[in-house]
Amino acid sequence: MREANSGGQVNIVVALACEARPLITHFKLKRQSAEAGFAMYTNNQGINLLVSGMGNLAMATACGFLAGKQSTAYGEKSAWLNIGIAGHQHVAIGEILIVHKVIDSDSSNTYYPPLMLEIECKTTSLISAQAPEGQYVDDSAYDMEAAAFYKAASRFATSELVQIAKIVSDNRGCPTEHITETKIQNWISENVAVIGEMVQQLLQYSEDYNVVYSLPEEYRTISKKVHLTASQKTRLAGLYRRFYALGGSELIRELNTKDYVSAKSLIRTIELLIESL
Amino acid sequence: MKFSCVYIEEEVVNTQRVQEILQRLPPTPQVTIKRYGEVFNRRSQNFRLQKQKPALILAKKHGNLVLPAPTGYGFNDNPGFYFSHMLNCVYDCRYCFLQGMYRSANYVLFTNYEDFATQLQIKTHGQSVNPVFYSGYDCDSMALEPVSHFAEFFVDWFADNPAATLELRTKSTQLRSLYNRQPVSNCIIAMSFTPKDIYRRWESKVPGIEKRLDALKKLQEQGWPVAIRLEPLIYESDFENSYDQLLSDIFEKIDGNRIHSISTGMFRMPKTFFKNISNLYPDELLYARKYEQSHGMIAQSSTQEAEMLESIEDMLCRYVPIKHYYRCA
Ligand code: SF4
Repeated sequence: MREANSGGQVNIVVALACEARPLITHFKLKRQSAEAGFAMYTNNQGINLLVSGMGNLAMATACGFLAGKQSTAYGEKSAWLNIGIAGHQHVAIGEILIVHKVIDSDSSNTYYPPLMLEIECKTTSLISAQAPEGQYVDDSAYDMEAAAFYKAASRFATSELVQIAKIVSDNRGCPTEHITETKIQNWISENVAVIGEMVQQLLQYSEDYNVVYSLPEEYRTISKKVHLTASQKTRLAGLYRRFYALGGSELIRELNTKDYVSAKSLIRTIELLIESL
Repeated sequence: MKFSCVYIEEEVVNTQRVQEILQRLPPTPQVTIKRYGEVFNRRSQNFRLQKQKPALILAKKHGNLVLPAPTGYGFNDNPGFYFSHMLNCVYDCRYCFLQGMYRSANYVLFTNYEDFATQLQIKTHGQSVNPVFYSGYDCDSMALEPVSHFAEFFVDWFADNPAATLELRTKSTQLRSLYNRQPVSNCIIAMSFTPKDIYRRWESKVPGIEKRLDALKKLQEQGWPVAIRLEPLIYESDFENSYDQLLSDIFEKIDGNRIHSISTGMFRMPKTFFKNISNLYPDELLYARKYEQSHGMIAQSSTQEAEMLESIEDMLCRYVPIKHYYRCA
């Protein structure tokens, strides 16, 4: 995984290994040593991919695992993208759809992923059900994991950074029995350019977020030099941000070269400097 | 006007107004929702990111649709009320308190105009003196006019109800629906201005000062009552020069003797809104500056406020009869 504070990151989460394969090739991802039973892949462009396994529980656990691995004290956020297959009443097999509404059929909870991606493709509502649905009753897509994905991922990122795209694998004329691993792989491959565009846009959003909200490098340096309590960390972070906004970045760099007897004296020095700006 | 998505409440989806609004939009994904709060008030939203791809929410407003205006808000002592057919604004002024009031940057458009009109009627009838109704408190009154046709509907209503007065507060130049009709003497078009440097720095997406002045001039020439709002007053060391220039630009185009009113209003907001915006824009100079706090409000120092008011009021005397001037609380 990338170092903290180095721009945007996107976590792609798929349920099946065959969904992952074309993405691994396209994004030139390298396998990381397996941890907690998850197959994880990454590259140095900020793209990570995790194969969760099927079902709600597997998906929620995978998101939690990945977020835990990435958590830092500096406030960066990754974007999250769930790619997978879904059934749909009438949309053509192999067509990719962006999800604008997710209904968890178990809990009846409804989620609305904000439509942040500027991609020429249809959008759909989607019903996540634990057993594959073969009825195609609504003008909706059907899958098994999207609700769990959205619920879990939006605990770790603001909802604008959490997106879902599904490729239609079955419909009324071509039911689930026809689905094979090879077909899934082909559908993903056929849509890999669109997925690439989604990932690029999400990388940008994640970077936009991190540029503003992650703590400046100078804060990281000083917080390693001086022992800080939790409340001092919050106070110092706020002061560093304010100092930056007031145009004091040069002064901050200078401050960081000095030694401080205590966190208190550091905080006081910055407070006085802010007063003087 | 382009939106990332249109969310539509089930209750209004089949109404004629909603169907007409949808026809005015380019192809946009449409999503049915139960109540607008599901999308607008959900947790885990970032106003700033969302502002890059805002959605439109078409909804029905329930409950009190017309509310008493805050004390000292208006241009006279008559009973004052405000009503908001929209929440949020298509513009992006960095000083705007709406960023701190709402979690979402999406625009909510309440489409039950007739219910608003019923409540305006009730409030008007209950008064011994003519009430004033302010629009543009939680939004910009005119910015979404090509989609909403809000002014078209309400200016008609006020034309039929001369015992009530409407102030349409705006920074928009989308004024075609006003140009295309006879002026209505109890509908005041109030436009807000700040000096060029503040405009450039903190009024993203707002039409230029020149353009707004031209639009207001046209309305004044047609016979509409127009008003100037110098809001918010933000202290800068060279504010005197900036306001001198701004007032000269304004009154080069607008006839000061014929304006309905001109007012000043300070940059102030409730502490909670200020805190929310500071967290949203930790890199923003406007929110990193030092302010004073009293009675739950954040404000510039009283010395700065007094200095600005004194100086700007002095300048104003050169252009407008002083009876047209008031300070907005
Ligand atoms: S025009 Fe008014 S309502 Fe709109 S963003 Fe600016 S201050 Fe806020």
